Amino acid sequence: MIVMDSVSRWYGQVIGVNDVSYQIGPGVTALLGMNGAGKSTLMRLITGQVRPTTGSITVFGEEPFANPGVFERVGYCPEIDNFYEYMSGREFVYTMARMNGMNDATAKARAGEMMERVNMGHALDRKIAGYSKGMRQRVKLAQAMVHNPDVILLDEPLNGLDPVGRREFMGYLGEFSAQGKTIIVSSHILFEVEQMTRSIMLLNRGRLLAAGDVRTIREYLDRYPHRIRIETPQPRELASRLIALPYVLKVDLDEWSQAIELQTRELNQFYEVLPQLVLNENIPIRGVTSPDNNLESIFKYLIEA
Amino acid sequence: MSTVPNGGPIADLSYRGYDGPLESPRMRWWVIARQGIQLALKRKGLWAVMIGSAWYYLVMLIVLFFVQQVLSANPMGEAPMAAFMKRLVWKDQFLHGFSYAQLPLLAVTIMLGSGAIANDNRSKALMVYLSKPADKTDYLLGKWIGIALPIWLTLLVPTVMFYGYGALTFRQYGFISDDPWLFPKLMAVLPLAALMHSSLMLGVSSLFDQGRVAGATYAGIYFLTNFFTVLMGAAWNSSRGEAPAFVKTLYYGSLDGLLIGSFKAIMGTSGTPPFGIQAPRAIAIEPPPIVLVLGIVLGLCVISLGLAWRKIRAVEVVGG
Amino acid sequence: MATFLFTHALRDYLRPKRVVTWVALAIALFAVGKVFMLSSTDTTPAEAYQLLSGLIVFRLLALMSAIFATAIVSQEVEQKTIVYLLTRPIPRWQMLLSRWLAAAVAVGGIAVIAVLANALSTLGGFSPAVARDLLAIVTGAFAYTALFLLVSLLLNRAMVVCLIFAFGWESAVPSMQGELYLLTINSHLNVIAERAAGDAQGVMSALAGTAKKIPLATWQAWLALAGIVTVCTMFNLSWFSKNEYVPREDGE
Repeated sequence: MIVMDSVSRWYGQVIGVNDVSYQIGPGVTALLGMNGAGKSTLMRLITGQVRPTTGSITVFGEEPFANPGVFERVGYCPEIDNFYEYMSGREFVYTMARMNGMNDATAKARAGEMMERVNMGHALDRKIAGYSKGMRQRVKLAQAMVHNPDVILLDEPLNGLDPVGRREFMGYLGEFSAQGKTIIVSSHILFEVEQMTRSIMLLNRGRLLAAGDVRTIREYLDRYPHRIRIETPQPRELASRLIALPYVLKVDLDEWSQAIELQTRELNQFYEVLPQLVLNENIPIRGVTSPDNNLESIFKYLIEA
Repeated sequence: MSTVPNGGPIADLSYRGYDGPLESPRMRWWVIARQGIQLALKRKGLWAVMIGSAWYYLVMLIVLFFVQQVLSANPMGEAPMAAFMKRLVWKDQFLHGFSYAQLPLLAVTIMLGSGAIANDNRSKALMVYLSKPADKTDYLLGKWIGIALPIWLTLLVPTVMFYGYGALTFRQYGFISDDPWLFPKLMAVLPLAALMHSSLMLGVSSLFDQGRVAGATYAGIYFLTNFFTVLMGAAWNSSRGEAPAFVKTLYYGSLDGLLIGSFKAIMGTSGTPPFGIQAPRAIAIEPPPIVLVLGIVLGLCVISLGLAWRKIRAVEVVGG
Repeated sequence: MATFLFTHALRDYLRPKRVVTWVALAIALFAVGKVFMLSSTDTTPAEAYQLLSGLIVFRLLALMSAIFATAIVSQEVEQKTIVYLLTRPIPRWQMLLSRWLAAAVAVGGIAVIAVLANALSTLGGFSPAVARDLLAIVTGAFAYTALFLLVSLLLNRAMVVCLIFAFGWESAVPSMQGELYLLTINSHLNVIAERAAGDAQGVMSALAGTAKKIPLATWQAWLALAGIVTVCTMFNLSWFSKNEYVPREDGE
């Protein structure tokens, strides 16, 4: 659906996106990266606002730059917080619907429907200038969805949304995804992304560091030691037993919270041995967690590597 | 050090309700002014226009230098030099220097001030400024000084240099004796241009959220009122001085007209041709009444700054 | 679609907040005309009309054109709302053409009010000269906006260039020796308006662009302006279709 082939984009001497090749299909894909990683540039490339300096990008097999054929099937919710402030929310969404080729009656109906859909029914005819940040985010989402696009790009969509708004938003994403749409969401907040999807594109300084399912990526990272945290009332005893294992590289003792944190290169082998050891030595264990099984750690590993 | 009352988990946040006097740093407005000036002075174009605004003084320096060189070697002695110097009205040279600087000053004003408040309006930076221990007065004064100071210096530096050159070189030709109060008068009139341009520009800038449109509007006011005064000048000249007296006053009814009128009124001159040339000239138009012209200038400044004051609000104004 | 784009842009350009100053200025011309008629004892109403028209109305036209034409794209870029326009399934040329036409109509409409205010003030009514001016001013609105749009597409600091053109070039060049006047819009508008040359005095006629007799036939002026509009518009449409416009901060 979206194919990037060695795409690079320079802004003068600054590189925005550096040699990115990837294909994005239906479902939710998260563009993940720090500020300035190239997420917005990639979104601009996909939405045809800018051209790649080198390489190629196609959406539904066509180059997106200034291509109305592509725009008919793409909805874009930009990061910017700028609107035609003198318009009401309904007018704004109606205008965008008209620009998407709908006739007057359809655009009116669709604008009202979308505004209701994003819970803006109570402020349809208020000027956008008077909207709160969260309301503005909702209007942006409504205009991106108004023409029922197949691909939806959402640039930092959760900015400014309150917890209720966030939950609603996640709900919309789930619905769109269930309809078979391609959704690309950018964010630099890993916690948010984890709640939306497991399919990620991790960008840093314009380069694609990793892409795909977050668990698959984690498996590839096995050359890095895994951290495991074990809570036990006898941390010192457990630590002494575990450090004797050849694939345990390091053990940190945390007597204050009655836990140990260790690092191992052989995760599967460790998990096989651990129950046996516990039973043999009669050391009670209250919990085992792996701090590395979240995006934060993957992100950290990759950009620090 | 913050304290946790009654050993509970919530720290003492009562300071948030504090509404007593603030121990504020001095000259908060200067931080805002300096920031504006530093940013503007990075633009090479601004430097070019500021220097270019002194072109009359530069040309006059060259003219005086060559006149001195040529006429002092004249076999007829001092007489030709004395005749040239007699034609030259010193205070009118400053009038020309001031008048011819008006157009470049317009450009300087726009470059310095068109975005002063407009850009803050757009980026909602007002809230950032006013969330610091700086109030509206600090903000407005800072922005005002940020425009007025460079304009004043643009006028002051060449004027003082030319005055110094004249006082050291042409004292025997009446440079000081013609009008002993010339320097204090100059020092009084130059800030007027800075006052008016900066105040009006701030007023206009506060009305918009794009520096581009604010600058164009200010230029429009400048040129359209200027053309109006050209019309009035033509009407006065065509009537050979017999048109109703108000036409003479309306001749000064533009932005630069008000300043030139003030200059003439304070200096007490109607003007002579530039560069000391002997040229047939249209009827010189007398200066307007000093109280009237200064009253209008100050009135416009007060109105403009009042407008800006009204528009500067520390909250995001919710419309609709 | 084109009709919607045109009305959407026109509605934006003619918002009361936006046009109130211009309409007030246009109407203020009425007062200026009256003052001039009172003060200039030996100027006929026809001469006064022509002077005010050349000196103020046509300058107002150029100024408005500069502001409205640079708003067509630059304003959207500065306000960052360009994103919403350029990600819609509309060919860029169609988008630009509609917005330019709306800007020209808005400028022309307000300038027409200025012409009528001048006519009422100095002539006390309508005359063939007013009709010619109306024709010239509407043509001028299209020519100036097309040219200034071109400048705004090419340069970041378009407004400064447009103002220098409107008040410097357009005032000074028509009075210069030789054929430089061909490179102005004002000279051609003066020919279409059949404005007599050299009637006004020195500076004034120079500022009005009527100091020199323009040796052009009316059809030649029409042809030249049509050429300017066509060439600028073709260039604008092509340039806008091929180049990137992404949000940026105000550079002026």
